[in-house]
Amino acid sequence: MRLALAEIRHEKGRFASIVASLALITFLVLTLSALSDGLFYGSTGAIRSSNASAYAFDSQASGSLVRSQLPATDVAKFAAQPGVEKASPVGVLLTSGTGPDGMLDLAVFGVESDGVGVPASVSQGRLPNAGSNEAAVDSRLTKDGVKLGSTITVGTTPVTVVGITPDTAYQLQPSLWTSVTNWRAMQEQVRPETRGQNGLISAVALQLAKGTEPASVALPNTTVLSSDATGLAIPGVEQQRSTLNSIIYTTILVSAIVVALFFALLVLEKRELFAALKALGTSTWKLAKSVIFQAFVASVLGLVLGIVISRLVGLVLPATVPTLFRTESTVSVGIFIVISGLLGAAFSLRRIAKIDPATALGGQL
Amino acid sequence: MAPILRVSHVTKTYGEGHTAVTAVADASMEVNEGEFVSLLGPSGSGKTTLISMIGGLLSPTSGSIMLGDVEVSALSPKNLTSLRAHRVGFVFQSANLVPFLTAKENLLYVATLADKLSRKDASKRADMLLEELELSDRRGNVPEQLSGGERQRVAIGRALMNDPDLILVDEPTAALDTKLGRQVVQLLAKEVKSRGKTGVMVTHDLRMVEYTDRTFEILDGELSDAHAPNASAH
Repeated sequence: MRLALAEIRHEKGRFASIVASLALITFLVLTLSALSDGLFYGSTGAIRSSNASAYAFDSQASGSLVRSQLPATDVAKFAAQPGVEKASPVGVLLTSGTGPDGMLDLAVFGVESDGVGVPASVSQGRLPNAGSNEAAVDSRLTKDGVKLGSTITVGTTPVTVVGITPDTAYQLQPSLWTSVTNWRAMQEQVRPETRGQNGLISAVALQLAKGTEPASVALPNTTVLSSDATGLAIPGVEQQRSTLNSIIYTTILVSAIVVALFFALLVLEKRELFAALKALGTSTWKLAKSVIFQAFVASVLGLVLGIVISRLVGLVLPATVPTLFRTESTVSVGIFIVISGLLGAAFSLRRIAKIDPATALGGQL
Repeated sequence: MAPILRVSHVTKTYGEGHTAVTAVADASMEVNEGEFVSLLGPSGSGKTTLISMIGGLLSPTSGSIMLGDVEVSALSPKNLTSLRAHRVGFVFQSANLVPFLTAKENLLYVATLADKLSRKDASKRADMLLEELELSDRRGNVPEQLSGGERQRVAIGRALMNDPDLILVDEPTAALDTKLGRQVVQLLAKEVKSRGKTGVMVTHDLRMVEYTDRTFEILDGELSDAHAPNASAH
């Protein structure tokens, strides 16, 4: 190891270049993964943070809350299904409204505060009371000047904010949680074509008994999906995820190749020295360990630097870029980068093993 | 004195069938403890192949090589690595020092391979050797800051570091001019002799054999009998 460290100290420029490459690759991967997480969390918050374990949609809706329409009478029918502990109506409307600082994009959810399908936690205030003109809103709206007591108007229906809920965005729009009655009023005001659809809601939120298969409680012409599946069924979520993930994996593969080439060149250049060291009685394993150790040091330094860069860049990214830096993602990216660095270096081991100590004599090299 | 190195009927053949090339043919030689001998031959004569087999870097096709009571030619590659670390010192043509270690660290590195001395004793021994080789004030310099002669002197120190039974020297003057080459070989002879070490030096340079006790000549793989350098007809 002393040999490995001495070489890094002596060849600072060289190792700086591999550390810089790995730092940039780490930065790229972390930013992509933050974007992937940001899109995923921003799209699915309202579903992930709800207290429902499953959602029922009409069969033609492909699991989309926005597309689905069910008769309100289905709520009682679902509640009567074996395995269903609780069922509540959910109405969804993607629209815009007016807040204290101007126009807001909104995902309006019509829910029953004492039912299922509402945010499981509230960071400030409370959920709206039934039959009131109250609403709880996603914490993202606080950036737009919304606070407890603010009034938000959708169509011609004003609601007063009484609660703030964390991580409850839907399709990258902050959510507004109010009663089913208010939701219906808002929908009729901004979408006149929905007037007269009093008997319709978007979906039914379900609390299933433990171990109940979502599909087993479906009524005719309905589809029941678990909350996780509902999140993934949101248009674009799965596609964005798989696209970004494949870019991330490709980039990590590139980092392995960069490390492999770097150490292959380094070993090639040190063939004569390695032959001499072997002749002096250094085992192949000892030389291999020193190369692996150098790859480890370079990967870890590159990783740390990459994390710092991505955090700094994250600070200056405009808020409209939906990035989310999660510790779990950073840790898994870190593990991947270090492992790919070690695997890259491992490609040189065969080359090291093949160096013949006898070539140290006679100057054949 | 008893021979410490005994080479008996050693042959090294490369390739097979009618393309086979015999690099060393039925070579036998003995070197006594405390002797410094030279192995003289032109390039391609097989001298490098022979010294490589003696040093445990190549295995002979047939014959045996004994270093003290160890049959070098019968050792596994792993045991050969250990043998080289503990019992053989090498001086290569072009010093071949570790470029990113200082002169002293180059000596200490081989001490870690043999692992015979404590860190403190190794440091003391390295200082002592560097002092004898008149390199005390260069101990903290890396090879690129040293002259060719100084590098070769560090290499001699490295070869002596683990107190080996046998020191093998491969054309030590190849990278040096005649004057410096002479000084290095002279120093080498002095170090080997004063410590009662046994040394074998490969060279093609007849002028260098005067510093050795005996000379073996090798030509086209055939080793001829030893003779005293002063009796040499050249």
